[in-house]
Amino acid sequence: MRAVIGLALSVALPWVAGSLTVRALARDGERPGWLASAGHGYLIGAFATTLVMRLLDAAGVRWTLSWIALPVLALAIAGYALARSSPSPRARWSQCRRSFVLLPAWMRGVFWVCFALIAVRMIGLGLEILWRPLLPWDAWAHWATKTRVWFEYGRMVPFVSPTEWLRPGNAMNFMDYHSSYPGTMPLLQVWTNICLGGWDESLMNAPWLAVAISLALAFFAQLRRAGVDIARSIVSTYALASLPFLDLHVALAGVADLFIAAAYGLAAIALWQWSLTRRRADLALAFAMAAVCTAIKLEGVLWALTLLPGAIVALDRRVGLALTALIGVAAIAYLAFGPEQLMLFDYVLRTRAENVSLPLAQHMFVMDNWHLLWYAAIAVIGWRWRRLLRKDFAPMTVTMLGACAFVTVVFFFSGASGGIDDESLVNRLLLHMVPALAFYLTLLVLKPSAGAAEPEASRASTERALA
Amino acid sequence: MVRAIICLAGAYALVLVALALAHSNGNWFGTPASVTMAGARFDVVRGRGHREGNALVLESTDASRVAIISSHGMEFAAADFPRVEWAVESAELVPPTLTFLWRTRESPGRTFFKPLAWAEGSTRRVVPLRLADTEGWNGTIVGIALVVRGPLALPLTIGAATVPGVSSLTAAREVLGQWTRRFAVEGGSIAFPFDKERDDHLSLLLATVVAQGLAIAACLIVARRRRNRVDPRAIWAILIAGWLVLDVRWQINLGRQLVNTAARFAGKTGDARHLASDDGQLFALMQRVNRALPAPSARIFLFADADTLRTRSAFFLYPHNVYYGTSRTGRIPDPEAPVRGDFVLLFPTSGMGYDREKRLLTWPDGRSRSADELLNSVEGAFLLEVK
Repeated sequence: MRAVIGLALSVALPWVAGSLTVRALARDGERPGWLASAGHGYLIGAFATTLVMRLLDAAGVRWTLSWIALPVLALAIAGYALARSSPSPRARWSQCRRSFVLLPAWMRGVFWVCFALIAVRMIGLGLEILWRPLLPWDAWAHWATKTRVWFEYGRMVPFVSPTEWLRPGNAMNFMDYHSSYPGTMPLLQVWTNICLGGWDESLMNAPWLAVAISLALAFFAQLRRAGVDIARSIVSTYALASLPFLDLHVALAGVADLFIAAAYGLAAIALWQWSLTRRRADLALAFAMAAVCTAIKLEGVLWALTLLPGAIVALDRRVGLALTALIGVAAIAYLAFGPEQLMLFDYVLRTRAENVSLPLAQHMFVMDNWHLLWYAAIAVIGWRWRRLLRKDFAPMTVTMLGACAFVTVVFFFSGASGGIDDESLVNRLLLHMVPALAFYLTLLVLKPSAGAAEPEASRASTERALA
Repeated sequence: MVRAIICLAGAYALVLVALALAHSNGNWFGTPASVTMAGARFDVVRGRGHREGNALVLESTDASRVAIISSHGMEFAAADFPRVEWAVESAELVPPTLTFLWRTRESPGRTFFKPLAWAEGSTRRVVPLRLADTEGWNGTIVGIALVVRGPLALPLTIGAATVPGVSSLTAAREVLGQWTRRFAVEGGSIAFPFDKERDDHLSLLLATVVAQGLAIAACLIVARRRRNRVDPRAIWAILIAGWLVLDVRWQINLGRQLVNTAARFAGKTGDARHLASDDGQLFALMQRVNRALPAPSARIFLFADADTLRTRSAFFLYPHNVYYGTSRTGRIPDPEAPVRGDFVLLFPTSGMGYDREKRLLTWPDGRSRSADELLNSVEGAFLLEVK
């Protein structure tokens, strides 16, 4: 019973605090819906929890449940106080239920079928987390190692390189496979263990299920905000949740890639919403999610940087597109005239391409890692090419171009190409951009044209009420 | 829309038939008789074994941990038989490594080989080995053999080796088997979960794309003949149905995996789960090591040749303070690095050693440190305390 309560607390407290904080980011009338807030809220709340733990560590306070939970609870209360003038969740829920029954039967049917498919998937993945010991290499080579030690000592004991470890002096320096990796993920696992009241190598991975659910919630809610109807939004959300590689990163929890994918995807989506609505809350959310992205893994900084060109295009399309073209030309010039090797963020950047197209093609187009996603991407971009640089889509297109450029550089022109050759990195890097890509493709296909008349105005207003 | 779905089903069937015919070795209707060699007809060339009925029971490998069984009593044309099936049973948690060998009349001086793989799951069986297009699998096969590598703690039973004849029917069954096979969710799945699809005649994903293309083409042709416009809903139905086909397979796979996971781990404590894992033996050893150590945090130097062994063992030792070197070869620190009271966990390595008589931990260059033995496991690992 203690474990159940602890587990619920470890997930619910950051989630509630984060959701209320997201709502408090905006003024009344501009606030994202409860679903969107809950979708973005888990990552914000979880990140805030780890910040509290960092602060306590810096202050020399040993972590305890109350020391961590009280500031997070205070954040939740502050968020509630700031956002309380908006409709209560209960009132909103009643309104949604009333609007939902007015929808055509086929729409409700599609909604419930997809909802059931997603629910079955998530329950199954949750049980895998509950029962499995820690299996994937990265999970026990450099994430849970820190978790184990920090949980034991109740603080962030330093992890250093093997060379530094060997230097005589501090006997409390630890090492693992990647000592320099950021502490956010281990801190989140430590927090879960503190709530559980003891070391539990399986249950400490509950955040992976929470982030998968929150990603689905945010994805659905943001599609609804973008004007996609409820049936198509849930079908797209199901398509995202059904991707085998994404599912596996929940089932085999403990590796940070799913968090990068969610943080980057939700940052990109919030940025795109800002480019359409110009609401400051969306921009603030994009910044917050990008900050989370940078705190998870070293390459999170690079992923966050790929959002910049899209933001500039959103501010001024011409300047942004010209800048993007300039970056492209500079990149080509660098390849032609640049030094053979360059160190960047601890990665080797090369000007000679490594041919890794075969494993890439196999993982994207032959094996079922992504179902039909990559075929769909080619087909949709080919079909909707006229929309790509239209005012409303240009920021999204440029963002995705940035993401594709980053992946191309890592795959073909960096020291990481070894990870592509041995195929350990191919899908994991692709995973980072997949939620953003799925959202982009959905909008390319389903977003109503800018000037198109709405044929069923009454239905649209009903659906909007559900957003 | 229903017609579109029927179109898609028909297209899948068409793809299946085309694949079956393409992999039938030209035997569209008839199937050549299979060639079966009972285990008892094999001779033990290396290692030790005995015959039990029609089977051969391999009891142990030789001093170099290798056993070989071979047979020369069969002759058949390789082209008619694109794969071999070994009925081998092992009760070991980590079964031995198996390699299939063969010789041909055309290249009498050469022995060809291809590794065999164990199927996933609790029932140990060997996956049928595809040999079509393999180097050396041509001409007339005049002898086959099996190499077994490993300590072989439990006997290995070889029931038979069968080279089945193929026809369009068996090829269709094989394709369906590939499309419905189980993809076990294990540690490596975090990077490449569908690795087995690499060897498929045509992966289900590719088959789906081809079938969708055919179905959409059929819809377009029918609409054109009737001088109608294509109903976009029909195209969407084909695309979504194709996605669902892939996802239903994946959901079933996840369901089967969940049953396996539950049977293996559910209701167990954290330690019991590790003991039930593939590396349970290593975890059991690390439990013994942990019991022999003082309370955390002891400084431990961990030496082993294999990167994975070092890293995994270290994980089981945290929150002790473990040094294990993260380069692929595992950098060995100087003898001065461990101080008095530090511990050394030494797996059998090509470099470091422990002289039990002199109680000396020895480095590859001959230098040494005196160390007391705290534990010596049957696996050959030593836990030492540096003096």
